[in-house]
Amino acid sequence: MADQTDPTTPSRRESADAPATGGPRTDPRGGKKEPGIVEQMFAPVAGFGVTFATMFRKVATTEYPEVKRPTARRFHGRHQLNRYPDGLEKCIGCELCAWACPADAIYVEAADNIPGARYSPGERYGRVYQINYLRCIFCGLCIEACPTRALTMTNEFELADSARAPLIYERHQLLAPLGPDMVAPPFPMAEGMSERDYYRGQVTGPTQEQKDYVAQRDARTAEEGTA
Amino acid sequence: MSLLTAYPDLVAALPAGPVLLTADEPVADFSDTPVWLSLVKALFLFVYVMLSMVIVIWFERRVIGRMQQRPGPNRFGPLGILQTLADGIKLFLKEDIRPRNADVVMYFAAPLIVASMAFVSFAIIPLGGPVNMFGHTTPLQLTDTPVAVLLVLAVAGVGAYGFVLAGWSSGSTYPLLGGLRSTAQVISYEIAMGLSLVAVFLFAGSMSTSQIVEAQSQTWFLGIPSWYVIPLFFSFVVYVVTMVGETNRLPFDLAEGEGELGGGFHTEYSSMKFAMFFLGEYINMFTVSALATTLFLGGWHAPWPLNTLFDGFFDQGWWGLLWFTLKMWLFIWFFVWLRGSLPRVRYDQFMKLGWKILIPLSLAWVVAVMMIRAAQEGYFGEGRWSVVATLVIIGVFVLLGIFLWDRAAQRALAEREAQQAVPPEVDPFAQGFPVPPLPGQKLIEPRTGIEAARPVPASTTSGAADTDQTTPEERRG
Amino acid sequence: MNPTPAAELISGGELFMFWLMAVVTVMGSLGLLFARKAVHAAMAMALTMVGLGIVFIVQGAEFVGIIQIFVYSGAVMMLFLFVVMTIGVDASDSGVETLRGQRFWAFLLGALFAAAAVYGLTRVSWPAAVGLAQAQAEGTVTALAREIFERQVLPFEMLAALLVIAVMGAMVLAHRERLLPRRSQREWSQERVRSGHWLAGKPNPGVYARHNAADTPALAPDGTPVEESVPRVLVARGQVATPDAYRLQDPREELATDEPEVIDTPATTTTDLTQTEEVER
Repeated sequence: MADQTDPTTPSRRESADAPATGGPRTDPRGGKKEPGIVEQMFAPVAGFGVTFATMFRKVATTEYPEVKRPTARRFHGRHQLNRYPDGLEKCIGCELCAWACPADAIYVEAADNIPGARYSPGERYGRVYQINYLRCIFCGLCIEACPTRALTMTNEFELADSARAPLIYERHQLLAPLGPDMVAPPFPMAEGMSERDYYRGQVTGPTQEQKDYVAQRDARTAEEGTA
Repeated sequence: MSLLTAYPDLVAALPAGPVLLTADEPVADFSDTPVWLSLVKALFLFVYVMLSMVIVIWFERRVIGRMQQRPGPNRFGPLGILQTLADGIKLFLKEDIRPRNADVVMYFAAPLIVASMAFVSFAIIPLGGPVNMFGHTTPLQLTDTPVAVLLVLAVAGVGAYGFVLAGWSSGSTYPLLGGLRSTAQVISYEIAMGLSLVAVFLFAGSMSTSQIVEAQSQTWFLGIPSWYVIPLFFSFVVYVVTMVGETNRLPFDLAEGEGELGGGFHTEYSSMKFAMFFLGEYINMFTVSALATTLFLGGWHAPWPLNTLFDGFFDQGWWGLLWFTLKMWLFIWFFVWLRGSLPRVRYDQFMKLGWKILIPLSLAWVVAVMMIRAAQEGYFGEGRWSVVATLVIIGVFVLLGIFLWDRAAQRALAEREAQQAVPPEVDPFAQGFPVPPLPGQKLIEPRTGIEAARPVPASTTSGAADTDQTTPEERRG
Repeated sequence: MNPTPAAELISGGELFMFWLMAVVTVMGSLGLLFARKAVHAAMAMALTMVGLGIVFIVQGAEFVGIIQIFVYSGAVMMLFLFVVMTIGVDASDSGVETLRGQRFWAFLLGALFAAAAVYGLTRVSWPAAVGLAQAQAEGTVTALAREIFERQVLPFEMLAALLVIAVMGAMVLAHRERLLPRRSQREWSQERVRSGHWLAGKPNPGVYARHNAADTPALAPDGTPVEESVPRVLVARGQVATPDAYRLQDPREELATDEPEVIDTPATTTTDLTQTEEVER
């Protein structure tokens, strides 16, 4: 194509090749000859050939659920609330995900971390955390909004159900399962670590004090349970 | 009275042509068929049609699926065979709705008319040759009359009542429109269908189905049977087009076009009544296919090499049922192939095709066939040369017709293109606001505008405006 | 009149079919006379014609019977039905005569025609009846064809010409001349843009939490319903719903109405501040 910004190329108006009216450039069909009667009558035959040939091709259908294709790496599936390596939850109950959600699918109620009941490093944790999968459109804006990377999306997409209530996932259903080294909250933060240290990844596992605390707590609750 | 019969001598005045090869009466011999045997045959026919109906639903869905590179139903039963059963049970158990504005009598009568008329047409189709049933020799055909094929057309005409009544009695606008369109479609293509069959009647000398099948069993050299699809190829093509139009199948299913009119005339129907319409449509497909098989593909006779083997062993009795079924299902497969390949036509295009193209061409073809038959019967003189001469003259006319049609089409196209000729270069600001170029147009290059503009002196404050000689295009650049 | 050969009484299947078709045909014609709806009358007439066709077939005139069903009920009655369904039969057709002296001439010519017909028909001498078998010796269709195309060609051609003239007359009567050139789509759209009326389309009907059908108008920013958002047909039929029923109730209004009215002396307090407002998410 002629360069329109280059003043040295001759303008198309001066080229004598293109005829004044009609012709290959202005002809909508590109200057091909109009098909004759026989061609017009047998034009659909090519289409028939295509459908006939398609009958013998391998079928392109994936036979779900017998065959399942793996999802992409960053697939937008069910949400997950992550934990730090020692077991404390990353969610601080800031409700940014709820405000970001375009479909109004997330409901968060935060609560303070009091000395006997600490679920996350810092001041608050998400006490009530619900995602309504009937409203969720799996857009991922909540993931982008979360400041602590607490909320991520897994690759699980088989969420179908036949009632409304089971499709509102609560906090315990959304929390990531405890890893092999983690202990279950509530327990106090690691000694000398602040929330910022947790966020920067300086906590790599539960300390002995935390494990002892959890063991004592569990023993106490077991006693109270039997008493 | 004497005025009306004033020309009896016309009969004597005609040249004494040879007697027609085949008589008017049906060939099938029903003399050994008591009434109870006819009832048994009716039951057998009913079972045959219902079985075909059940299979065709599955067949269509699977074949359409494969044509679209997908498997079709494959969940219920092996290869999805039980899918039809599941659909039938679902239709049975659905709630039967009746709109408040519906006309009750006609609302109930319409699906009954459609479903029952669809079955009646099968009465005269010969499914096989004479067989021995329960000790009686009887043809595999419920009945036959000298006007059997017209019975099918008449029944199709009465069946069209079902569509228009269904549409009107639903009490809402879209079904009414769909019903009227559907019925107009059916009766328009009935005419073309009848005309295409006239050529078959001329060749066979009768309208009785068994007679027509018999006439097609006459063989040429090497035992090739003279099925009418070869000499009457044009009639066959017209018949195939009209049979698709008669049964409301794609590409002619605009009356029930799902995206356009809801469901057409059966929008307000549910459950069993809808099942009746569904049934009627599929059985209509079978009827026209059976008729096409009987009239053009030699009915129940075996295809070429097999009819010469073992002294015609495969060409008789119960074997006929097999060949007939195969040929009929060939047409059904063709229906499905059409459905998978072609888009829907518009209503006015469809009516134009039926009235302006099929009917005049069919009429011309009937005249040509008449001439050929007259030459064969010796009305133009004895010997083969009269037939050959007639064929040559008809061929000349056909080629002339094609040539003239082509020339007229070319001329019309040239006229259209001349009208739509777009100027090569346009000024986009001509009408005061900028427009993008139409296909084939070029816009005036802004560069050339700038180059062509005269330089404006820098110190212009007062007299510049009136001495400005540049055109608006050049100023805008 | 020449004497006919001895006729046999019909029996067996033919008798049964006669009685069945007789009942059906008479019921059909009574239905035509007494049906309340025009479509029912038209269908009754179609039933009569089909019955007649079947009677013809039973009597051995198969071609005529089939053609009776095919042409009369399949085509002619279908046209009647189309007209009745689309335009409808109205009892309020005006009885005013538009042609002068029509009634007088109609009576006179009708009476003359009746006289001529009666005279002609009573003077007919039928040929001797030879029985169906001999008349249809060559087959029913061939015999009929010989009759039409050899012995009665002239009346046949006259009738054909009459039918063609009737069709052409119908076309001429129904044809409308186009007085103005047909406006193209471009012109329509230009006119619409120039008029400036609802260029972007009318507002859509209202979408509420519990209802989003087309019969409830949308609300303008100040809360008044917008009339143009509902289809004109519904407005004309009076089937427009009010949005009040579907509005999300403001909980403060709810609580305000639920408060019990306490008639008390000024000394006692009636304020109730324990209920917190819950904002609905």
